[in-house]
Amino acid sequence: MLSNGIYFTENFSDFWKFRYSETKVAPTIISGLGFDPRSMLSSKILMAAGIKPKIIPINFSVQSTGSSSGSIEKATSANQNILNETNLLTEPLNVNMFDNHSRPIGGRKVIDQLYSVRKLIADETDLILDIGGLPRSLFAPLMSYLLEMQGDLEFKNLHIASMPIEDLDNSIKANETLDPNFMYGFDFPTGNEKLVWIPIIGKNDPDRLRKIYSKIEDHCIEICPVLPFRPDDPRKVDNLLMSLYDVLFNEIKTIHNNIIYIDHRSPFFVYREIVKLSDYYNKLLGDLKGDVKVLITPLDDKTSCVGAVLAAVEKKLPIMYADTVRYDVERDHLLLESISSEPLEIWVSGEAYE
Amino acid sequence: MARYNNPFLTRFSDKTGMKNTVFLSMYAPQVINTILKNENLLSPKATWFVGIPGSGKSSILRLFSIEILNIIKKQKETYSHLYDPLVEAGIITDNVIKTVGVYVQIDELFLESYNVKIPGIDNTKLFFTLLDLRIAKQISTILRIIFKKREEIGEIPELHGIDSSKLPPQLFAEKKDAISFEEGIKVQENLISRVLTSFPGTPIPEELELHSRSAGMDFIHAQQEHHDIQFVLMIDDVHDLYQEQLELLKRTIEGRHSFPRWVATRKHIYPLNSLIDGTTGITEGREVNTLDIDKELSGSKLLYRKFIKNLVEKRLKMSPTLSELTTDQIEGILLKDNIENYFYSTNVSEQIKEEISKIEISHRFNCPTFDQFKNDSISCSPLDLEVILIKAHRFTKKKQLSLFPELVVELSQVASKDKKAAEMFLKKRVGMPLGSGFDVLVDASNYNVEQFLRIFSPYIDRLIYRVQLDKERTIKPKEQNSILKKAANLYMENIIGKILHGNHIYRLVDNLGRFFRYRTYEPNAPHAPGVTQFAITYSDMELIKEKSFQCEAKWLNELIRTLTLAIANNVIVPENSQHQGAKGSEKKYVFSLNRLLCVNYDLPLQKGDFQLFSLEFLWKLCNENYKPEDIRKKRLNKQQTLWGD
Repeated sequence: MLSNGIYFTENFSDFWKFRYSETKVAPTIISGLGFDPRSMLSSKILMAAGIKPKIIPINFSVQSTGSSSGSIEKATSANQNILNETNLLTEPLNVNMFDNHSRPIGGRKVIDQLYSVRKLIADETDLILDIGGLPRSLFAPLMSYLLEMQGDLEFKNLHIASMPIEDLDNSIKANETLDPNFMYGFDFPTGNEKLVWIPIIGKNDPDRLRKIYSKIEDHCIEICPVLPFRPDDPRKVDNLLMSLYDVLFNEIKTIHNNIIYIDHRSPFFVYREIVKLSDYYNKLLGDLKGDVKVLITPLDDKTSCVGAVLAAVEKKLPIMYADTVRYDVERDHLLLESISSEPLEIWVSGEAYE
Repeated sequence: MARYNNPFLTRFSDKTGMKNTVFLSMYAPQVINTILKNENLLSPKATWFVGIPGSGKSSILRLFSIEILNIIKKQKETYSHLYDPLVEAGIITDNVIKTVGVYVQIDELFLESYNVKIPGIDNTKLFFTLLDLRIAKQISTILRIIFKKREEIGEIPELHGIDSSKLPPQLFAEKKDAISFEEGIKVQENLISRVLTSFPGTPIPEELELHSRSAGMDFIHAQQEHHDIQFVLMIDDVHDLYQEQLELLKRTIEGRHSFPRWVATRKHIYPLNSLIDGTTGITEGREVNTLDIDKELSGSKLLYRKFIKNLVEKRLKMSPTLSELTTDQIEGILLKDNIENYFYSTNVSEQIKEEISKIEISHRFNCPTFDQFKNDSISCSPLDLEVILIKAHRFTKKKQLSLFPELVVELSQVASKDKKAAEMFLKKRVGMPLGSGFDVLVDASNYNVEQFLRIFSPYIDRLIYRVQLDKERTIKPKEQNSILKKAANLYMENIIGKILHGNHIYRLVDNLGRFFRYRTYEPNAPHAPGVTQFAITYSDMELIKEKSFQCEAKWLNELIRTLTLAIANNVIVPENSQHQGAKGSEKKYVFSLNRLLCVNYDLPLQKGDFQLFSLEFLWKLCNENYKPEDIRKKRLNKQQTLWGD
């Protein structure tokens, strides 16, 4: 479990059986409540292991289309059924992701909501943020809030449960992408800084890259795309690079040597690389260019986004993201298939690091 | 892989960050020449620049920023096409910048200043403080650039305080040198940033000084009094603001001030009726005027074409591979088609003759005009035959025929729209693209520069490779057509599908596009040369005007929002209202499809006829796919809709 000073395991249930035997306290889970079959997965696994978790569910509003067979409704109701079996600490926190003009407000709203029920997590031994069913515009600010305010909120340990399933991720397609924004919960540049942009690219999504670049172009002095590679299939990242060739090299003029490859398996690799880059550019360019800030854009899966958030919180870095108003679910039968694998357990703060 | 540089991939989008020199070398002066003729712009009034995305609002503002004006002034020979109009307008006099823009962009910090809820902090004050800090920072930058030489010898420019009777904030109360002034601003900006990103329960920094009203206006006035410079306050992207913030800004900007104020906004913030009528809802008056950027371009096809040619010329210079080419050469490279080239490979005349004969027999009428040509393969052109075929189809639709029906076609007197329809039918019959050549691309760009770049960049891609590989440069009509169709398809999938309400807009235009194609290619060409528009009645429009943005019927509200966004994003274009049919019939409001969509559905690029729809059925078209035949039957239905309101 302990590897290079970080706590991270793929054996979620074994970890929690062991942990529960030590603490004798069931963890509290903050979890999304949508149609994604991963929404309540960690609760389900814990219950199967004989641990009845306490739940703070988050009900958020996104539009979804593409299912004609009612799979979205069935998947949502399956998650609701699991929720009913848990120890529910509060009614679902209702979060509007967008205002009337479709501006993203979800990050701020979810934190306001959690703040209003903060007593529920005070003195908790283990708090799990299950990001499986939460969009990154919600879980990233939440994670930042929990990490930054852990002392005030008075819980002891923060864990992240993440469940990347490539097939499922690819079948939920983002549509109606909004203009990019700096994510609430992280640093906001004031406009005086020069930016070193680190897009973490895991998908062929040229429009989003283009949109974000066009927003920061004025201040961007360097682009360092991070491409998470899969050691079991190294060609995948090459194919991704080829499909994004035009946008990366002809439109936004990335220098070939700036591309950074990171082992996809652990979020801590992403974290380490961003921290290194931030230190490097501050040291290297600070004197030459004035204030330099590394800007992160997490476009890979949620697990590497966890690494990005950790780095952003530690180094006070801004995150820019273009949110999605509507998701199209292709191959919606995947929503109803049972998931055989377990989420990743990522212990991000608390006793393990004391 | 060889690297290449396609300058047409660089969009003049809203937040263009291209290097100043690159920006200038690509800048086509036609629009600015036209705009600067507007006397109101440089008088102390508020001017609203409105336009759709990509219409060039930000590019206009950027030209007046100190950085750009300074380059133009320094390299006046290189940029004489920009320098001269600026001198003529009095912006540069005796090689000195006399008028300069104070550029402020609305970004998410302004939005967060609305959303943040911190006990003890007034959001309006946050908004004004942020606005003032941005204005003040820009002015300091401007003065330091203009008086750079003095600063180099130790005379740092000074920023003058606001008259104490106006109770200015501490930062603006005293005279300061630019360096210490900027430090003060930076401190306040960082504090604001901290407040806006703070989590609930975080204490407010004590050093933060909030402004109860905009002191920025007085600050500009104070600098104008002491420095011989006319400032123009330019605020970009105000469409991003919340309605209450917009109202605050509007009141601030539209008050009386001693300098011009330019505010750039996208159109979607205006109610649908304003977009359709071409007004913006702004109270025009002595102090306020509006400049519709889209109309500045679309008002004159000639101006737009000239503008595009200039833009192409300048961008070609940016490509190392194509820098030697001129626009005229590009026009020559995009080969135009000749329909006669297709006649050799098809027995097209015989085909049409056969069809006419069949109709004659089945409907038992005689066509003397056709009889003359029946066995004559020289004097009769396929186009004439196509006209006769259309007329024959129309003849069969006549309800009352004489005892010995006879169809006489005066070929010399055929209406031009029927000729155009016949030409389209013929092109389709022989497999020829509907259009080719440079002008087709200009037409398909729908008077939108960004759309032109999107369409044109793949042609340049092709050209770069051909030049690099020393291959034949000309692009044949069929190849042009396939590139254009691909661009049209990408527009549907990647642009329309991804804007807000994109799924509704996509479905609506797809239903309409297929329906228009169906009606356009009906054999009797009932709406020659084709259908490219839809309309709603005057009474429906009145309903929309009444309900805009405050409608309780959910479906109507959604339809209004969908149409608003479709218009604001240039997917559909409102035309002038029209009458149709019998004298005294109800007035209609007509909308065209974006010309690029016409390419996607093989519709004529010029404006065609329109089809009337009920609001209820339009909303259905936003939600379901319909067969064209069903649309034809149901388009005027006013039955209960999805939500049954």
